[in-house]
Amino acid sequence: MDDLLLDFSTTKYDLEISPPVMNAAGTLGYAPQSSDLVKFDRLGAFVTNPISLHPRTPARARINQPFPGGFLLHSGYPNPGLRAVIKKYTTRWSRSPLPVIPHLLVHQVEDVPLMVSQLEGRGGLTGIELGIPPDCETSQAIDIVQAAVGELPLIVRVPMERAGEFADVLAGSSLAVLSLAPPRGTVLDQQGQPVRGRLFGPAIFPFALTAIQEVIESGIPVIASGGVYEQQQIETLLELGAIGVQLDAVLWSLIDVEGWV
Amino acid sequence: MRRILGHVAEIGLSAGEEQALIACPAESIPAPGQYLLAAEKGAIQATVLFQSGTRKQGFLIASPFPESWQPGTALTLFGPLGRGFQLPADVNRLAMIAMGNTNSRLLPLVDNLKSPQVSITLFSNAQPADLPPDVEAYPIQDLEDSLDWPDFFAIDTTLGRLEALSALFDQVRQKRPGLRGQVLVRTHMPCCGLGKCGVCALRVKRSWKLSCEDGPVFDLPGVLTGLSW
Repeated sequence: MDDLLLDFSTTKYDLEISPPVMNAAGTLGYAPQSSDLVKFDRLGAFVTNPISLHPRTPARARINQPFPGGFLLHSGYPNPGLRAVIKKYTTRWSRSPLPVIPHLLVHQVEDVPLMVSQLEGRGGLTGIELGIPPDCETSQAIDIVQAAVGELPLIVRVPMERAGEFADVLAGSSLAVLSLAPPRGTVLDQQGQPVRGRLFGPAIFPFALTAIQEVIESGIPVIASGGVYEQQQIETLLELGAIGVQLDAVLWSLIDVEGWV
Repeated sequence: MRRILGHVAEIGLSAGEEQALIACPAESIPAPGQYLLAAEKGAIQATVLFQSGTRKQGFLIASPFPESWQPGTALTLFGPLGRGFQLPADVNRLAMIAMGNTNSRLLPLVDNLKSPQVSITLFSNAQPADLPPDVEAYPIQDLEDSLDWPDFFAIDTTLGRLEALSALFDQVRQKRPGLRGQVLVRTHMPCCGLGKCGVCALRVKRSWKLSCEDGPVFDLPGVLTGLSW
C-alpha cells in the first residue's frame, strides 16, 4: 500500500499522504507516542483528538454501550482547549515521524480564523481537519470552511448520515476534501433507557459505504471511515473511489492492524 | 509489552460466584487493581480484566465476562496496565470495602501485605468467597459504625457508585483529615488508554483524570475531594 497516495490535487493545496491510511480523530490522543498496540510508523498521517477553542470537560453522563455489531460512545469530547494542547504537544508534533493533522472542534464561524492562525506555521503539521457539528446547517458549514482557508490543506469531517447533503454544497469549491464522522444513534442502556451517542463497530460499515457513494457522486474527494474492522474493507473503500481511509475503533480492539497498511 | 496469546482455561463456581481462569504467562498477570485487556477473535471491543487470585497457569477473574467465553476460548491479551493497589508498609488496620457483586478483586491484597500482624476487615454484601481465616467479614451496612477503626481503606467500586462512597465518607473526612486509602474505580475503558477518549474520566482533587491512564486505582482522599467539587 506504500505506493498509494492520498492526493489533495483536486483542492488548491499540494499535499500527498502515503500510505493513504490514518487514524480517525479521537482514537489515538493528541500526538503519536510509542505504543505496542499501534505502530504509528505504518500510518500515512496522524489525526489528533478533537480540540476546541476552550477547554471542555467530560460529559456528565459518559457512556459506552455495546449493541449487536458495535457500540455507542458518548464522552462529550473532553479536551484541554487549543492553547493548552499547543503548549503541551507542539514539540512532539514537530518531531513526529509522520504528518500531524489537528482536528478542530468547531462551534461557531467566528472562532475558526483564530484557531487556524494558532496552528499555521507550526512544525509537523500538514493539514487541518474541521469537525462540523452534527446539527450544523449546510450554509454554516460553508462559512466554516471558508473561514478556515489558509496555508494548511483542509479536511472537513461531516456527519456520516448527512454526508451527501454536505458534499453537494461543498462540491466544486476546491477548498477541501471530506471525511466522515461516526454516525449518531440511540440504543438502550442496561436500565432500558435510551442513550444517544456516536456509533462504532462493524455494523456501521454498510452506512459508511452509502455515505461514501453519495459523496463520490457529488465529485468531492472523500476519506472513508466507519466500521472498518478488516483489511479487505480498506481495499474495498479505495476501489470504490475513496482517496484514503481512517481507522477508528478497530485500533482499540487488540486486532493487529500492522499488516494492513 | 506486546500482544500475547492466552485462553480461558476454566469456568466454574467458587462459593457461589462465577469465575474464569485465564491462562497466560506470569508476566501478563495484573497485580491487584491493575488491568489486562483481552479480546477473543472477532471481538469488537476489548474486555478489561482484573485479577481475583492467581494460579499456576494464570489468574482468576470474577464475572461478569463475555457470555461467549468458554473453556478453550483463545484470547489476545495486552497488559498489565494501569496503577494498581500499593499498600503502605505501616498499615495496621485495613478495611477492605467491596461495593459490587464480588469481594474477590480485593482478596489478593491480603497476600500482598508485608506484615502478617495487620488486622483486616472486609465489608461487603457479596457472598464471602474463600475468605482467608484472619479476615473478618461484615455486611456493608455495618461500615458506618466502624469507619473510625481502620488506618487504611482499600475499596473496590464502580464509577457510578462513587457518589454513594462520598456520602459514606462525608462524616469520616470531617473527623479524620489524615484519612488514608485507595480506591479501585472500575468503569468502561473503550479506548484502552490509547485515545484519551474521556469515557473513564473522573475528578481527582480539582482535575480530571482518566481511569485507564492515571488509575484505575486512585488515592481515596483525592477522589473524595474531586466528588465534592
